[in-house]
Amino acid sequence: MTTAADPNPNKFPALISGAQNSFTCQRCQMTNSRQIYWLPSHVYYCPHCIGLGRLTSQDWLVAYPEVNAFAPVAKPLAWQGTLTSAQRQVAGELCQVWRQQGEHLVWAVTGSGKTEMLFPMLQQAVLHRDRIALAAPRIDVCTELYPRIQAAFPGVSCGLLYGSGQLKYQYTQILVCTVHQLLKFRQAFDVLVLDECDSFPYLNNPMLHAAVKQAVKPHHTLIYLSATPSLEYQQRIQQQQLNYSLLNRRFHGHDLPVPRYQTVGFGKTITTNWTLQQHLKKLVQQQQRFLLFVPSIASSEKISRQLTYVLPTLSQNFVHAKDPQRVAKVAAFRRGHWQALITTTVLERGVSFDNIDVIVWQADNERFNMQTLVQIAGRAGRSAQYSNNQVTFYGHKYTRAIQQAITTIIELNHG
Amino acid sequence: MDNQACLLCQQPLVHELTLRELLGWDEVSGFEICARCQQEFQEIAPPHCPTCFKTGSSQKCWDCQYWTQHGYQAFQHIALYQYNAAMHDYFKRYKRYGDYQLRFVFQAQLQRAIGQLPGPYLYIPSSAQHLQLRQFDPVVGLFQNIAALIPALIKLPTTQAQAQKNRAERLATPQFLQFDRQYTALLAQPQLTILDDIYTTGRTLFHARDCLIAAGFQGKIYTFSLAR
Repeated sequence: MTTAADPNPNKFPALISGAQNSFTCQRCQMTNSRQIYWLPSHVYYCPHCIGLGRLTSQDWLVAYPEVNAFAPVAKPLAWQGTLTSAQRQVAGELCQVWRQQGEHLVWAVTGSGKTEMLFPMLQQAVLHRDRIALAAPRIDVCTELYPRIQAAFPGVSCGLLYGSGQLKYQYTQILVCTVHQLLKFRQAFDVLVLDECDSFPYLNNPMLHAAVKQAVKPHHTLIYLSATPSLEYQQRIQQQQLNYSLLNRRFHGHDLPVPRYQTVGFGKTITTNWTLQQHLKKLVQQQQRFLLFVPSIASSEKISRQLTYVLPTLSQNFVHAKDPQRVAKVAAFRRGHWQALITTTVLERGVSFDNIDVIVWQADNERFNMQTLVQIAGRAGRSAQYSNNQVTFYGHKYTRAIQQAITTIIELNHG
Repeated sequence: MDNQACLLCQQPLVHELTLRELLGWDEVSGFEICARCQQEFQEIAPPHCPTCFKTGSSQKCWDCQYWTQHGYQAFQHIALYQYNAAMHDYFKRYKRYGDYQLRFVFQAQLQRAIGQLPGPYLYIPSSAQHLQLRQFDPVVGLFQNIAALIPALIKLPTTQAQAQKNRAERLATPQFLQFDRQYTALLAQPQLTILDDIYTTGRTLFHARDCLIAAGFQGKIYTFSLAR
């Protein structure tokens, strides 16, 4: 961001006026009304990408052409693991996509080892001095992905970028970032991998779709990763606009845990539902760690508070998207702190814990759609040693989303 | 204002009438945000501190005990919402990011609350520095369509914003407000209300009170904030 006084030849105005009192933001491509988004100082501003710093009609933007100035690395991939034959198949397809520079979807069930399947393709791209971005809609997915990429490609410069991140931006060959951060780039990446491409907030968000489009170079490779592709991708596949690879086995070869549905009587709360309480007591007795998913931020805090009275022997804490300690709490839980974490859908995907049971409270709430429930169930049984974790949905009514989630998981297991 | 989407999450606004609204017992009035976002905000309800509306207990809170010990007797603060995670996020977007449009989020609720309080209405202004940065005054934005605001208080330059300080530093902050002498006619009023956005320790509003009393005001002072 800069001002009119800056002599930089690469600068352009941040907001461009259009017809009928509208203006279009040159960072996020969203169009707004000048009659609504004005300031008393007689300028107007873009509300959509405001989290990256407010752009007003007085501001200018600067974009530098991408030059791919990366030092060559002889053998970038240090990862020693082996891929299963199914993974190897997908990895090979991805290398092929990269050679042809296309778009491709990897439809792989939760816990199937999506990241590792990317490695052969990423290695090719690094050797070719491509600039690579691995983007995901959520911070948690990025912070989990970053150390794995760093460990796999130790000699390659790698950066992490997200809204509240502590790391300062540096020019690197590989960038792990949230999709929002892509708004800061113009035709910068040769390869872009979009993880969890079916999830909030990317799903149905025109601004973030524009962010992906303008961050890649005109000739690029774009890989979408998903365990539960949304309608957008299913339609593109049907219309043969998008090729895909399917992987319906977890890397350890065991089935996905099938959720059990448990009806809760009307008016029953977490403090008065006997079945749930017996369930929780048993988990405490067995020292089985678990995630308890609830529909809202307010209820995560409330239920955590209630559980300290109802079940004082259970060590637990809550986490949600607006929790300032969110990253620290998830890291602590991974290190073995607390037996349980009461969470909103913020932890529905992209995060891996060993040996975790999963409970969804108020699974019939509209916040839990089919994709969300499949993802949540996918938090269980992720390690080979504990592939048999229990998943339970508690709800007042057996919704279509619950039914579809359970059948989808059964079908994937038999597929 | 014609607004089809929730100001906070941009989801389409579909208001589901409650039974009371359907029967005409409750007024169906301005809703700028969706029910889902609304439920993240906690309206202050009893038990709360009788003098500042801090929730949790109906006893006088620590802050109010502090002010009582420092010689303040009859004071009354009223606040509408708890300063929880959702409210923190709201102020981050409204004040830190500078999304001026978010001044409308609590219009209906503020209108109801201010209706209960006596005028004239004074407010805590932004510092010149903040005003230049944001290009709007967040407190004025919240209340300007509801009450005739009188700019009788002037903010003197400070080295650090209240929001960036800890509790002890906040309480120790010396007077940073000044009464604007061109509004001396106000001093004869029997009562007035001072408006602010957030009440944390009460330091700012007690400074405002001091500065009015020092100027010669003898009536009753009410203070109000959106969040406590």
